[in-house]
Amino acid sequence: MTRVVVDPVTRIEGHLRIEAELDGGNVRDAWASATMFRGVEAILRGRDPRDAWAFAQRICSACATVHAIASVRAVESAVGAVPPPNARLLRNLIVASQTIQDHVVHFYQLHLFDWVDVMASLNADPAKTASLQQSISDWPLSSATYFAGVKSKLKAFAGSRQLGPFANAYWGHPAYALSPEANLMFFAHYLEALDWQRDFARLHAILGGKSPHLQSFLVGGMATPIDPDRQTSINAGTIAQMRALLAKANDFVGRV
Amino acid sequence: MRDAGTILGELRQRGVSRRDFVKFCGVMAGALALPGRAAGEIAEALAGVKKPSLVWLQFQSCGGDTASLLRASRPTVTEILLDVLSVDYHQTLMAAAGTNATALLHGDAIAVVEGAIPAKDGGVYCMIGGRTALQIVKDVCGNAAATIAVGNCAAFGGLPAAAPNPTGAISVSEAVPDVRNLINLPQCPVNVENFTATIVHYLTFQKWPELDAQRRPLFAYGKLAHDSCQRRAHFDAGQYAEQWGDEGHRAGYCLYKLGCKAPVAFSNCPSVRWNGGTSWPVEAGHPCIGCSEAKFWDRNTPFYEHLDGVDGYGVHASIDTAGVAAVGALAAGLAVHGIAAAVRRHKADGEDEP
Repeated sequence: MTRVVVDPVTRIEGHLRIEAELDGGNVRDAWASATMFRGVEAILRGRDPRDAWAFAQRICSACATVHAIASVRAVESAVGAVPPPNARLLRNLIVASQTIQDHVVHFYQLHLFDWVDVMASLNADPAKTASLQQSISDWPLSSATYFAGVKSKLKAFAGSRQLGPFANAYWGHPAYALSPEANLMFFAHYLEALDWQRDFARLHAILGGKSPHLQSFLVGGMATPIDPDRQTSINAGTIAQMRALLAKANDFVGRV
Repeated sequence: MRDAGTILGELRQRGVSRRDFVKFCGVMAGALALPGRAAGEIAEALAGVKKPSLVWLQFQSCGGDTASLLRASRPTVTEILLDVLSVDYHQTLMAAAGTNATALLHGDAIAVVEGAIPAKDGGVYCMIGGRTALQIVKDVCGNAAATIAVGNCAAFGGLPAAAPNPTGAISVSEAVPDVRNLINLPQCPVNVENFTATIVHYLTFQKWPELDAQRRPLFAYGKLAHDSCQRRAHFDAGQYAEQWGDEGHRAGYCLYKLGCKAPVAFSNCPSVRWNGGTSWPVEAGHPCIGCSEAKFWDRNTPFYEHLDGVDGYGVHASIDTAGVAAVGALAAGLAVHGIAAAVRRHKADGEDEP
């Protein structure tokens, strides 16, 4: 029996330790511990219930809006408050866009390096990478020139000996199963997703003033006024902006 | 290449032109509240420096400051991760895990701390790789040339330290009393524009920005949010939103009566705003909760009660009940915020009490 400890588990929100007992390459038993505690429940006790969502939201910034809305709903059902239809629509927009954003960030920014050998993409043929990308979708960032550019930037970065977040990782491990071309394509997507998610967060800033930790929830409704004819409300202009951001999101998720 | 290994060199490799680079420096000058001509100085300085190492520690946090980092737009998060800094340790972003990760922890860097540090019960409430947060922060920040505490938790204790502070959570300055060059960037989470501007200030001038008594950079925390608020004219005119969604709320009137804490919050939110200048909470219609201030989870709550119920700010009269006799006392306490003037105008207009 061998005991393996992974602590910290990285590319997650929070702190996690995994211990596993191995027997001839098979996991016989395993233990997971969340190694950080704040006591948010104890901090909330005795406070004004209208404030609770702001505390609950800080449980996790990656899924912050979900905690905030769950808290607001809990208080609403305790006091029998029914939010108006517009508030319900705003909340739905916030949660739906969070779901889209979260899936993209989870896959690219957090999970990707478990599957993609970044350094192996230095052996990729840009023309073959372009064919691979074009066989998947009609996403426009798919030329051989584009992938050659990504590759040369990565090469310069790797040559600088300041590897930053890519240092001391598992590059070259036989468990990485993708071709060099697939690795290069996914690394390009990692960079594209990094830019896209930053841009998409503006939707949450419109609906909540800022992202992360939107600040527009209220027990009984939402604090964002809606009036198509007012400069200081969610109006025709901000709705058009949100539509554009959602169209880009649809495009990114559907084609990348 | 002449500029190989420098930030400008890295940006060139990534296809950023000299012209775009200078433009970027102009934006940074703006963020730092410097005159436009400083752009040239910033460009010259950035072109010559090697990427500084950054070690980003996370303790009792929600990851909000990291999520904020991911939203960076000037410079972009991609530029920060690949070109401007060498992010040697960051648990949310690094490819390595376990001992491969902790082997990269070092103090020969700019240290960034996100989250509070639990001191109770021997520090067991936050453990990384078998060591307590307290041991790690002392090790890394005790050696670092400078430490940036991002977010209210690292700067002041934040949410974990809110009453009754179940885990004995403390700030970086409390955990490492002899820390060198500490810069506090509170807010919940930090507005990433203030973080990047702090870094660029250092790269440009080879020194850290000027700080206030709580070690917050003056360029970002030098003015009350209230003083640069877009709704300020309505405050001065005595025009307040009284109810959510009422005429005043939709017309962008002052949110003071709905609980706004901007009159006691030192922050550049109204001018820099969030997410590439998209908005900030007051602009979206919700009061400021004053997250740039120490103990705001206790001092500024209940969030939806207006300020004069808050201890410690020298506000003794209620805006709801203040009679003519009380205006003098209010003026003494709040002349600096112009609240008294607003109340007087409010009275002079002969408007009804709310």
